[in-house]
Amino acid sequence: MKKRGEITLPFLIFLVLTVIFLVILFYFVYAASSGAFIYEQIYAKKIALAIDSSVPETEIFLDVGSALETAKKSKTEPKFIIDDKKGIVFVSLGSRKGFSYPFFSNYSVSSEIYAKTHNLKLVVKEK
Amino acid sequence: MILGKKAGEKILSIWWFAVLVFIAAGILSGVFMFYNLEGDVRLLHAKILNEKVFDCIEENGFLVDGWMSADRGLAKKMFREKCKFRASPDVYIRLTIGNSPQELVFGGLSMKEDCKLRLDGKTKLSKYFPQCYEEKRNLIYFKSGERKIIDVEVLVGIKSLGERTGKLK
Repeated sequence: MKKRGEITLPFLIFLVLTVIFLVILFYFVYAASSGAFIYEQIYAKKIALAIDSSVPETEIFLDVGSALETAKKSKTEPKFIIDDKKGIVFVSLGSRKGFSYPFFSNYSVSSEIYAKTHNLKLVVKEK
Repeated sequence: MILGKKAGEKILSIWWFAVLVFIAAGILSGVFMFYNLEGDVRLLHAKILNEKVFDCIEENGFLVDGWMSADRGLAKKMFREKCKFRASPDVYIRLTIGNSPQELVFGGLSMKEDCKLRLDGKTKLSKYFPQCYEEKRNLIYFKSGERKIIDVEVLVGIKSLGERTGKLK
């Protein structure tokens, strides 16, 4: 005969399932909120607008500290690719996909990451 | 606690899971909605490009030499070479100098009507419609040594919201 307050097997299974469910849920929310989705979009757009605002022979230094931190958290190499032939900026920081955004100035653009100062250097030149 | 009561346990497990699923669905949809928000910078981008067009054709309030006399073909060539724009279906640029019917159009021509609707502002448009920005300035030019003023209108439309993609296309 069961006593009042005694933990039964079905209740234990139910409890374990609930805990597993909540752990998975919070893990997903934590992973999604790492910022990669947001920062990829922000930096792709920021870089494209910076290029379109510039004139040839311009050097632009962008603080990409948050992006580098996000990529580090996701254990991936941050990618800031600027394709000046197609006019597309592509940023990938560890989400399964990256984000691309176009720019419309016909310049030659090169980029370099300075990990120590958390800067992305863009050099805009005449084609 | 309803422990030890069979009917109570059943209700607890079924409804408790239903509540959990409901809460999870709420949290997940919230997270998805937040992280899928598009930061729409197209209007700002259009303003930047608009300013860039004026930088190219204007110098201290004067219309740069050559624009007034250029026919459409030459103007298009000058626009591409001097203003350094890249033709793309994602951008629409219209430059109108004076009342000349020879307006210079560059980029995605399909956006002409879309920009009309957007600037009209009477219809509620989907986010996939381009964002457009139009600016008119009075510029000075010289004709037969005489100083004249002309209306110059620049319209820029931008379609692309950006794209989540696996690799650079």
